[in-house]
Amino acid sequence: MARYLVACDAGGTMTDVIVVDEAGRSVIGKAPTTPHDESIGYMESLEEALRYMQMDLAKDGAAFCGAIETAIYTGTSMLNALINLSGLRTGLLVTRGFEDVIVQGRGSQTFIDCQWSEITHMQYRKHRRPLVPRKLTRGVTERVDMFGRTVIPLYEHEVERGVRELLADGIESLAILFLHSFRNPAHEQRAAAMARAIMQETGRTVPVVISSEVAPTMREVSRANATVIQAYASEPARKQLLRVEERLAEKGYRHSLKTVLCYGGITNIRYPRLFETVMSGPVGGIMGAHYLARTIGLDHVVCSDVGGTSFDAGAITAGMLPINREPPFQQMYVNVPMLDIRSIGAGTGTYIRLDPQTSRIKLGPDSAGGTPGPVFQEQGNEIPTVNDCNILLGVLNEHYYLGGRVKVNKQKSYDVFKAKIADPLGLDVYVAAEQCVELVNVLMREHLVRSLMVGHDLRDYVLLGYGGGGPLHLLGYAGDYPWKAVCTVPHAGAFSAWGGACMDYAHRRHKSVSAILPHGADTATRMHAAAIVTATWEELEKELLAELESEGFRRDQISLRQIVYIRYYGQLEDVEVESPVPRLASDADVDALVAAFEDVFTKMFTLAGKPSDPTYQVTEVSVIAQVDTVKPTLAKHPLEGTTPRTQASKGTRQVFQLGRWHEAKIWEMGELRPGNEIDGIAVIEAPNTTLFVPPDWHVRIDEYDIYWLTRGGTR
Amino acid sequence: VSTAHAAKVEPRPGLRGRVAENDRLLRETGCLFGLETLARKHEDPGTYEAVWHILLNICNTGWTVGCKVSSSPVAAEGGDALWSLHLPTGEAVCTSKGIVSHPGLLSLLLRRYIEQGYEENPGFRPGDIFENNDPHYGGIHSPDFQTTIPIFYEGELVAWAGSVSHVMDAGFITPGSIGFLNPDCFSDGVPVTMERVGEGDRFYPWYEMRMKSRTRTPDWVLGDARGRLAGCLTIRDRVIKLVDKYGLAFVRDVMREYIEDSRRYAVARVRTQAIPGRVRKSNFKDLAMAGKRVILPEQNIDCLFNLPLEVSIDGDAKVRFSLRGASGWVPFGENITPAACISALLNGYSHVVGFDMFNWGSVAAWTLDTPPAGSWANPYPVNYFASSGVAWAPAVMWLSSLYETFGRLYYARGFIEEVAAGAATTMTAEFSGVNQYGIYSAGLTLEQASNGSPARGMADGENSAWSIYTPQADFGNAEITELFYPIVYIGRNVEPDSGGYGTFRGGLGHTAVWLVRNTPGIEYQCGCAGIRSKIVANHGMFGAYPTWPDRPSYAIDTDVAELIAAQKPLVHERGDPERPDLVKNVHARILEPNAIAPFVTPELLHENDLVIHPISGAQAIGDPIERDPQMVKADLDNAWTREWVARNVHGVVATQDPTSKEWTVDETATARRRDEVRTERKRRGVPFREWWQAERQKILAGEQMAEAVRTMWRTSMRLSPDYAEELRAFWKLPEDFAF
Repeated sequence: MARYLVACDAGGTMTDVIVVDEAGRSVIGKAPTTPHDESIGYMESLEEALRYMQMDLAKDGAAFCGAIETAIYTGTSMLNALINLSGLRTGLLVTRGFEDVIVQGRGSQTFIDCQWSEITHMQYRKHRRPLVPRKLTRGVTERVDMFGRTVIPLYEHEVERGVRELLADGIESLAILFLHSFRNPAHEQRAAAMARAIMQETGRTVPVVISSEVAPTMREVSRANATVIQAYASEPARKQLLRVEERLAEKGYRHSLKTVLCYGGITNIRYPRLFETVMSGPVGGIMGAHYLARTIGLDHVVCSDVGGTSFDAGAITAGMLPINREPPFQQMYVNVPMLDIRSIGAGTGTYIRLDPQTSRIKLGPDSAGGTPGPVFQEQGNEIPTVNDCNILLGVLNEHYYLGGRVKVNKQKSYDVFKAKIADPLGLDVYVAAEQCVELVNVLMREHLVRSLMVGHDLRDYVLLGYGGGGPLHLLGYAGDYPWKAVCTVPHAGAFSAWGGACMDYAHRRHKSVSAILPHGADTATRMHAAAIVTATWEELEKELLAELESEGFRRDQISLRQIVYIRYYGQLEDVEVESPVPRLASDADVDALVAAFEDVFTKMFTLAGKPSDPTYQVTEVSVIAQVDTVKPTLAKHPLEGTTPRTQASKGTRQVFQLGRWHEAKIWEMGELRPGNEIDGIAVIEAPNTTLFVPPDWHVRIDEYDIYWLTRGGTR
Repeated sequence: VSTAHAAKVEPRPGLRGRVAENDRLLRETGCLFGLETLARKHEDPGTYEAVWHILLNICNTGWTVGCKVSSSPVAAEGGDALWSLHLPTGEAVCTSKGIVSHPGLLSLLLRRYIEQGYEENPGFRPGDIFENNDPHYGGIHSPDFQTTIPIFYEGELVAWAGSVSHVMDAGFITPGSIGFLNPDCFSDGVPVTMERVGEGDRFYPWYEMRMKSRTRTPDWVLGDARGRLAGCLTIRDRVIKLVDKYGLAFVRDVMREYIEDSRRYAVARVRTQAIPGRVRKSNFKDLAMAGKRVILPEQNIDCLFNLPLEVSIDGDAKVRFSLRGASGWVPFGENITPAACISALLNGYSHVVGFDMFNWGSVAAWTLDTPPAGSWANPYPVNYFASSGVAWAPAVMWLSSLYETFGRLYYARGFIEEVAAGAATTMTAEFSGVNQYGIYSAGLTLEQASNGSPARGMADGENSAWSIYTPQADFGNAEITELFYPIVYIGRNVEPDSGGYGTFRGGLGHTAVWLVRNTPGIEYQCGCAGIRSKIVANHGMFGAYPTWPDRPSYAIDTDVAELIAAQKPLVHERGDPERPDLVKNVHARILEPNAIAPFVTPELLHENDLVIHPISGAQAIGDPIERDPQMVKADLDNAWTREWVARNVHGVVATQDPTSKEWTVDETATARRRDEVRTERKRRGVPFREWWQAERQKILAGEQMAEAVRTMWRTSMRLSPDYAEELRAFWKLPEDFAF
């Protein structure tokens, strides 16, 4: 009997379901997202996917769902709750004197995602609406210092009064945040116990969330945000997830539904810290790349995703996923380990304008996205976009846009672009259009090589492009930088959804510590610091093993990886290092860890940053616990000849490049086969993406159906 | 070092001549470098734009590398650092994010190297590191170290990489980096006077030795130096690659065009949004030091600064700034140089105009008249020994007037959304002494890096979200600050009513409350980086009421331990100004609930001593009784204002539900109350002429005039005779009248 993996990515507009069979074959269904009950959109999308498999959900559903090995769901309900302020009415108990920790936040939260010109111009800044209003916050006198020592014991009468008042005010969940609780959680734990006792007494029980359990890491503003998100949005989101699971179970699905963690990995929807799934949308692409890289033996991969509105990028280094421990999210900094995916507002739908004062070309950062879309879609947008340029240049096929499902009025693009951009610049329309495309490519390229790759040698990295617009711009933003290789995949438009099916079952825990290795310290001092790290690893491992074992995994299925965050003492920035040893049991183990750190640091920050006589400080410790899961097979195909089959050819088209028109060969991607090779200038078209191969570039399709792109045929 | 390029090095002569030529071209054509057309931009606007983005990213990469290497929270967490790229003749082309007060200073410093003949001696070579922190030679104040390295390409000096960061301790006569107490430049700390401090991309050992012996926190100071250098090296290496790709001729041309383009943008914005004419904003700052702990006896005085900002705009949108009327230098570290005033204006221009091509260009869009010789803004012609320990102090308050002057011009033209009232003041907190690790440390907290933002023409200011000296306003996390100093926070909330009152109120500040722990003794310095001691300054716009002066508090030898043991209330905020929580809840041998800033605590602080440090809000716009009552209600709900303020200042009558804590506005009572306020105002009001006559009599009689007031007016009139003439004319004073 066939077995299936079903992964779903429910976005703000559309819900995509990808069904993968044991052979690695996949189909994708799409349906509008239904925020009020996401299970509706989910089942409709699944229904469409099954139609591609010649199955009917009503008739074949029971057999199909009974054969689903793993169902993964990524939804937007938590995100929507934060945007629409529709989460639980949450109360907050906080260290007295910090009642404004949420409403005041910190200044830097007011300009998250702003451009520099907006940051310098004060009119633009704005605090977000708080998830917990001030009147639902109560201060409690207490203090623990940075060493974890009690400075002010918990004023329990204030806890009691605060909890009773908040319950009377109708709170539906309670968050507790005390300073330095990650070092010593006793006050938070005691306050939570008191709150639960009061709830029992009053007969009104609401979830209680404490920061030292949710996110035991330093920085109270970000920890408060994490704690409040968990209290505010996790249970409503869980209800949606349980509803999806219920609908699947009704059809015969026999396992628990899984969801996606921000740091890449899947977990049971009953996972306690559900806030760690709050931003899992872009995770799929990186995880797909991670799986692909592992399968074909790549260590270093830069993942780049070109969508309609943004360009998202992340780097996998030595097989390690990039992690940001305090990412900006919804105008908050949040203590949640999240895949470090850095985005800029540059995509195929990005608007192109001229500055009225200086006539400078301004790209975005806003965009027409899919709706209203580029000018040629005639959906009301009269501002030229990057894809209008791609149509004008002949790179995009005006008769095959989204597989021909969208009608294109190329003349309208021409007229609008000419009037608004080319004529004011005094340039030929096609020259101007090519300059605009090159400019967006430069923005993407710079985002990769400067923002993302500081301190990394590009020659070690393979650049992977995906997303609907990825293959279209890939060679533009790959530029002439010395990437080890450049590649894309045929299902680039659905790569993120595919990636969602490629994740391991993984949990991750972090904890702030302070372990100092002074310069020239004796063995006893070094081993004291080592003991702090080892003990924390052990503590976190114990928690993670208990979690995973409670979810039904055996100990021998679980693998553990030990991480430290380390810096030169006195500096503020630490560096993530995977420990080469599972325990720091000897001087040699410590030396090995320090050597691993220094190697990473020197690459990132130049030798000028290294102090003489360095002292080292471990600031945070982390453990990743992982269980391998069934994943789509990356099928290996026999190689065919270098010349594509006749039916792959779609003739030629005039494409404007490097200031003149070229006769480009046009190919149908679905008809190309492993082993085929194509020279630029060429356009390879598929319904959900277009690969543009400029002059002097060459494509080779390998046995995994991966498209490798080299310049001049030399690479 | 990029040795491939270093091999052919031959310093290109003639930089001094090029500087003079640039000046001539600007004078004669009105365009920087004589660029009446931007040829590269017109020929290839896409590549022009692309290279700009690459340069911007290069500078920000310098920032990323530099801040991560830097060790001081002031730079990396507080945003008090910057990296930039300059033309060979000094003009800033492009800057990183960070403290945008400095590109102007770096530009002028590089020009000064050239004018002083450094090209010949000691010469500019690849791998050289030049540094300065000396205000006499282009610095602002000594904690701000300016590091520059030349960028050579095939033997030609093609650009400079520059960086500034603010160190935690500058070796002043007092610990820290906010040297308001410094009586003269000899107390201004470790000088680095336009020196080559390293070569071959390495600092000289003697430079590092000097920092170790002459600053109190050498690890932090040297960490910052390494950060500045690492960022500059990063910029240099990437610029060389950029030139490899696009060619020297193109890069050289566009770098100059970017600067001219920025100038044109600044002119265009003024032409579009402002109106021609002349406007002067009077503004004053006090420094009350009489009777306090000072260094020299002559500092036992109160000072008052006249901080006039005059803006003239002609029909071609040329802007001219003047400090006519600025009062005399002071025997404290609160004097600034004209060069630093230019850089401060460049910073302010970025706030009121808003650039995405921010560089030296906007400086060429305006001129600053040389400030009166001998004034606080130009002390050296009269007193070469004047201190600039915290030169920003008068400058930031003066700069605050820029918001209001431009706000009025924008309002007049109908650009209401561009209007902003005056910025908040920046009161610093520094601790020095043995910290919780048993190590001596001295440094600045980040509290002052996040004031309320000014009210806008159509909205309130934002709370704790703006700082006039850096747009990256942020006070960081208390848990991070506690790693550096032997204190624990027991409060860091929004301070109610700390912004100015108005139709749109100023963004509110906050109050930090610290309990001293884990130290044998530390000193708290409530510093002045631009504050009001006693007087109200920068009143807000269009009928708004101003913010109150900054009033810190402290308690030494307290009963906090007993209060904790008995689980009694402590102090977590300032509380009711009429009866602060400190007074209500705490007993102490020394208890100062309303200290006049700035000051240094009279003795060392020990276990369980308390400091309450308020950070001010910003100024407001419009009449407070025209504020939407629902906005007052929202402030009441957030505990950001008080019931009596709502009633007395805004004329809003509201009541609170004791259970839900929700406030409800009584619309009828509010209308009645607002009528009462208007009636009362009419009763108190006098015709302007009567008021003018009464005030004139006081002036003539020297009535109710403290010595600080007299000294200020006396020096203002002496140093600016034309200003004195206007003053006499306005008040119809005798021609020989002097204060």
